[in-house]
Amino acid sequence: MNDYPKNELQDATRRHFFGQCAVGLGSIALNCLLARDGWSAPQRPKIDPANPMAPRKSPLPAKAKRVIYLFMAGAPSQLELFSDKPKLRELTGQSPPPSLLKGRRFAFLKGNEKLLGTKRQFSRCGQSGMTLSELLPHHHKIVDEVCWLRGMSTDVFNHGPAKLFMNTGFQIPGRPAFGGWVTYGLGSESADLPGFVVLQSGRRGPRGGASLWSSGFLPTSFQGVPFRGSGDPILNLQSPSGLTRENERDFYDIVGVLNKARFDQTGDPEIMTRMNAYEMAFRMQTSAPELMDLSKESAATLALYGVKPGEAGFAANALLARRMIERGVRFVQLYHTDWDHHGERGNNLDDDLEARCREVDQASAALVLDLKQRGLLEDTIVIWGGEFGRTPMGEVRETTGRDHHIDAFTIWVAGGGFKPGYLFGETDELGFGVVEGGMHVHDLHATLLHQLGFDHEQLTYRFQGRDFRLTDVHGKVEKNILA
Amino acid sequence: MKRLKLCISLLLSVAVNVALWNAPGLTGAAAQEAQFNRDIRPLLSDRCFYCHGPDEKNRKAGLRLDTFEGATKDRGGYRAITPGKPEESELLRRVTSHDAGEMMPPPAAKKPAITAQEAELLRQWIQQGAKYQGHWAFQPLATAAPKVKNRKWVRNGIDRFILARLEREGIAPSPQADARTLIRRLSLDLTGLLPQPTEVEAFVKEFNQKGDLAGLRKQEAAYSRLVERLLATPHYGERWGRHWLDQARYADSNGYTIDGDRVMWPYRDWVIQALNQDMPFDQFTIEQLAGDLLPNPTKAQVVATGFHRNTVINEEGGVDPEQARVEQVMDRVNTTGAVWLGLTVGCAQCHSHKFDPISHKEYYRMFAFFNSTMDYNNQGPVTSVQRGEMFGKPETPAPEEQFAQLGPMRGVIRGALKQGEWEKMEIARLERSPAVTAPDKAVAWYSFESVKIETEANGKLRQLDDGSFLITANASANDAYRILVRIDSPRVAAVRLRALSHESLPKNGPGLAADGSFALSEFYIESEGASHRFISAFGPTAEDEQSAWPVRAAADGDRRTAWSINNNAQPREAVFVYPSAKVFASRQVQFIMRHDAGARSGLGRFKIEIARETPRDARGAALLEALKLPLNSRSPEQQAMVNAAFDSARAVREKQSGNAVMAMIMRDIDTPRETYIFTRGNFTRPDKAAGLLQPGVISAIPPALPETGKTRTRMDLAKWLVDPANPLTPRVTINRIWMRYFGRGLVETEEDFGAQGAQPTHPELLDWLSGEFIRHGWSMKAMHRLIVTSATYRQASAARKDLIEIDPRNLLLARQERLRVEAEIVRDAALSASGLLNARIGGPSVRPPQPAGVYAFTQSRKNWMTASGTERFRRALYTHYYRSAPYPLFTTFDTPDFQTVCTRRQRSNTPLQSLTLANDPAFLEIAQGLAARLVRDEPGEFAAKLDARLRHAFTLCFSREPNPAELVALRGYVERQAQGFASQPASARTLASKELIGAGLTEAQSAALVAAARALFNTDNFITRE
Repeated sequence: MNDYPKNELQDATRRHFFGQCAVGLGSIALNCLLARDGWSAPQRPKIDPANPMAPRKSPLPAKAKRVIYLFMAGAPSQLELFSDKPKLRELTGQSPPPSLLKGRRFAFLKGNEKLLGTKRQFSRCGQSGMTLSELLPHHHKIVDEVCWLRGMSTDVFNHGPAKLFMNTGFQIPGRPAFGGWVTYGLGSESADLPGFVVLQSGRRGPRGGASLWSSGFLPTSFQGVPFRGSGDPILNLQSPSGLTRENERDFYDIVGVLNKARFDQTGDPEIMTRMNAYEMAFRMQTSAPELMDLSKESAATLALYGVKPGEAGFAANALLARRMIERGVRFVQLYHTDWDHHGERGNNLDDDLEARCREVDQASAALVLDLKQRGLLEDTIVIWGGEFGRTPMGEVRETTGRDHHIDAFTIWVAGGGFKPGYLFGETDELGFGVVEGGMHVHDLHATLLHQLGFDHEQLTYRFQGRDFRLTDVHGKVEKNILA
Repeated sequence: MKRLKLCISLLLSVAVNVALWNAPGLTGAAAQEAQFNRDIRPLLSDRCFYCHGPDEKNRKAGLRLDTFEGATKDRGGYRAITPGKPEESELLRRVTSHDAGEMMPPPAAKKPAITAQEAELLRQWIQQGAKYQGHWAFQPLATAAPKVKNRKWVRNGIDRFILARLEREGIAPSPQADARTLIRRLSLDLTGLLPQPTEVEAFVKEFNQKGDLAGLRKQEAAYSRLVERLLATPHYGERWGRHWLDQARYADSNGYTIDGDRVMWPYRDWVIQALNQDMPFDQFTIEQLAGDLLPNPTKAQVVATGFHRNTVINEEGGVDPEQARVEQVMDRVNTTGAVWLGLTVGCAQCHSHKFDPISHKEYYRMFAFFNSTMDYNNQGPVTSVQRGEMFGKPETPAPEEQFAQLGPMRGVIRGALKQGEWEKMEIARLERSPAVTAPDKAVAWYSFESVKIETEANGKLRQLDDGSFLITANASANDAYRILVRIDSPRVAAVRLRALSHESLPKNGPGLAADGSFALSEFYIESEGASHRFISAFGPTAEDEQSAWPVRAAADGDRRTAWSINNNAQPREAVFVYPSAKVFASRQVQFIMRHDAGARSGLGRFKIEIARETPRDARGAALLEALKLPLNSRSPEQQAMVNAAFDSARAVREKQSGNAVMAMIMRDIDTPRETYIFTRGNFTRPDKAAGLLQPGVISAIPPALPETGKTRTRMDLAKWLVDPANPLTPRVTINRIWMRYFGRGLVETEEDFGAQGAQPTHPELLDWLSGEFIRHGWSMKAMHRLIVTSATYRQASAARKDLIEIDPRNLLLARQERLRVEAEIVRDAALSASGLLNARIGGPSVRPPQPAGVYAFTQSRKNWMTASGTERFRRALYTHYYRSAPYPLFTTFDTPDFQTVCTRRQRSNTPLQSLTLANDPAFLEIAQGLAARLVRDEPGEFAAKLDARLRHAFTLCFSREPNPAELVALRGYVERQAQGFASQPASARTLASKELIGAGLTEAQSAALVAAARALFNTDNFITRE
């Protein structure tokens, strides 16, 4: 029974075990990086099944190491926030030229809607020449830090499929999320926290739920782990009530002893992996609450984000995102919901839009400023945007709102080697289509992967006989927006 | 050390073939002749076929290398391949060229270059004549009878193949696992439950015999008896049904954003029953793909077609229902391809397959089989099924259970209906209705302007000049209408719905059924995302409703009951009232009209009006008056009225009879839809120039479908899949069965039997097993019996020093594998060890306790009414599965999200799994159950009985005794904890269960035993089949 080379196996597993345990905050195990620098061509990372999240070096030089994605679920109106269209204001109430409607598909419009100019004031700010809406006063402070992508387009016009498309490059559930691809490629530098974390704020969860941060066909280790913004961040994190840390140390020890005994019997290295997982679980019980505890942040930082201690929400999540990447988390995604401003009560372009802007404006800007001041912005990508844009025509419900528009909308990216204060893409004077600097979702994915050190055509996973990519069979790297 | 690491890292890499054939130390195949299928096809497929393969549209330079003809064609003085003459083969020159303009694959293709070793292989193969072979998986099943030296080891045909290969490599198989390991392994594999200690001890006694011939015979008989007993338990169908349900992408909700509940469990019950009855796999296939097309199908055969109703449905507003329908049809094609053929047919959705012989056109011929089904996005045919019916034992559930199943509905009549009870309920119902007590005066009815008219299944509905609505085109019998209107006043006390005739409707309407009738199952208002249901509804005259289909049935929240009329083309009306006049916050409200109670049942023309005051229900008032009179004081007319109302209530009750549910099934529409190729897979771009397509199969896979002159149906497809001449279905199916037992298929890429997939590790064994499957009449139990009785299966799973170097991935099966059990079995094992398991089979899905906070990340909160009593302890298979927010245990332990077909699960090993097992309140509850069982089974004083209890716990959890070190460690833990808890009374109290304390233990001692149970559940051993 015991005729396998125990010492050799134990050596391998023990080193692995302690290598993991010894990784402290901030001190990334360099030997891990070097040792696991294996890439086959096409770029498929060699995943150690015993430790799939081990940090991996990207196959190509990388400008960015991590990502914070601020997802504005429901799709904010670019025409109220980022894209000033004087001509549209001028033609408010008129029918749009039929030539502009030809071939476009909408979710709810019937075809007789009239053009709608915004009533929001825009002003020029910063050095970049960007004009920004009065609804985002704090964004005025970062206008020269971020790269404005004003010619975005996508393929699908319903929320669920469009969110999937923005996250997975495909409109039907079942493929891995962007965050899954990134952790598949790079692993994670945190030994105490998951590599891909999802946070949520707003009245409800984003449409689509778990499929938005699914690992799809990738190993399940690469799925996003939802953290709650208050209380226990992870399900089942807390030990059963009444058990002390001492009780629990003893519990983890006895489990370890029994597992070790079984390993001695069977020689299965999977048991060592499980022992390792239990140790990380034990550490997470302290590292996760420590992460969530904002009381150590300075008053200035709390004020910068607009975080009120003890109050969950987008601002607290943005600050948590920074704390996570400081601790080595690779990919943090924040969802903020209810941007779907069709015009009915609770979803209009008036007080509801204003409220959404108030909820995210300050903390979004603060995150960029805070990262910059800590020297983290240069190798962290921050993304801000929704799943599509909104129509230049008004949609009459109780008030006049806007329908879903897939052909021209705005998102922004910052840090990670993107040109700061750069305007890319322009739409026609009514905002129907892109006239220059167009960027499809696949192009965005390709460019983001490029910054993280991957050729998007090469980062693949073979499933059901096909080499799948985040960009499917599309996408091109947009070099114009790279610093 | 280095090599070990390298080999482990190969685990997830694609170099499966290379790993097998060139694994360090393996010599068996090295010096043989280069074989196209084994050596050359994988190479060409990977580097060349993308541009020079079956896809004619994207083929470069007109060169195809996947056929002998294409590769050896004269290309004007030269050939890509000249058989026998490597030096005259352009292919070889190009793949070895260093000139960027000439080399193949070209740099732009971003494919790895051909290595010197690979080029040498190509050279050899061309030298030897460049013999092409058809792709192995499409060839007929081969027969072989390998010879082995160690004939004593061989127990059945399987072992001959495994041993022959091992002997070629000079490797000895592992010894048989011990009796305890075997019974635990078999129980987990065949039933997903742990064996009980008495079963373990009995088996050990029977199995452990002397090593002489008679002893071995007795041992064999004992093993065989165990296998038969396990195959005969109904838990076998649960265990293997779960594997099948993965492939069926079964879930209890619709998916996407709204993710509403659906009734699919009758299909799940059908699967369990079919497996338990050992339905032959060909029949199993036919009933699921085409049960509705069988002559006079039984209810079960129709329910079986739920297989392809498991597709996700988007209930979001603004969905293009035709797009949604097409996506579902594509999913059915792709799932069929994956499950039966092990092929990635989905690749041919946009273009001809790059690697396998599946043309773009053939994809859409497959599509045509499924293109004429009746379901339309979120509407579709259903059939009424009772709990237990799929097991041949329909049962009427207890009233409280019915109530739970039906959800938050008013007016549900429970149990058998007695007139006396009914009269009391009817009085209460009428007294609740403000219309019954409303003053007898005419109220004004207001019309309105519609803002937007939508239907859920693409029916065309428009508003006529008189304000009424008319259906002008109808795609689905069960369409639902959503009419957004702007009302002048926000005050709504009642709504009147008038059914009107129209010359364009069948028999002048007012309904869309052939006889002009309709059945409106539900009518209500939606505003600001909330449903506003009516408290009561009535027909002003008796002619306004059928007795069995009264107006109130359209306001009872039950989709099985509906309003209908005796059709005579007169306008009929229904009045729906709110408890008191409702004042909507918004002036835009949406009327929802659902027609779920039968086929062809939509309203054709109708008008909706609103009243600001409550109108009077004179019939209801008269009925109430009669009901309140004692029986002997009622006039004959009054008693007749009461009796008629009772008959009506009973008829409605009949539709809810046994609280049958409406299971989703498959049916075809009468006139098949036209199918064309979709250009680049885009449903808005049918390629009509390429011609109308008839249903058809993939021509490269035998047998050819005969021309019968009739339009082919799903039945033809199903029969083709299980035709004994079709070599793929048995290979793919048996390979997956094998995979469940050994952790890996004989073809590792069980989902891809195409050119890009892995080669079989034991091709002759795969073919022999496939042949056995057919020879045994497609009996799945026969295949299980064959595999689990093999010596190969019975080997010990412990790692072996001699194998680490030469076969680190255990591809040659010189030992068994240790496999972490699936998520569901993690829970089921804990339930069976603790004795808490409620072994009830089938029925509606249940909601066991789950941690709080699951819905923080979903659009809509789910109604998770945690089960009580023993329903908390049902097997995990029965846990209600929401696609947008799965039960957390499942996600953590790699249960797929069932958005699409899942043929193989991952096996991850993460800290979140540790946290779940350690801290999930559901597991703590089960650990308390296990501790209680220890005390129950081994009664006595704490210290005196501690060892006995811990030994018992080991047998319950691992089917074995602890070794001395384990026992000492665990005893020490329990004693330390008991001591510690003595000074932490509050902690002890939260951990200890009442039952334990009642058994004479202190709180601290009880808590320590629960801690021990918890620790055992958290070991790797517990969740691993060894």
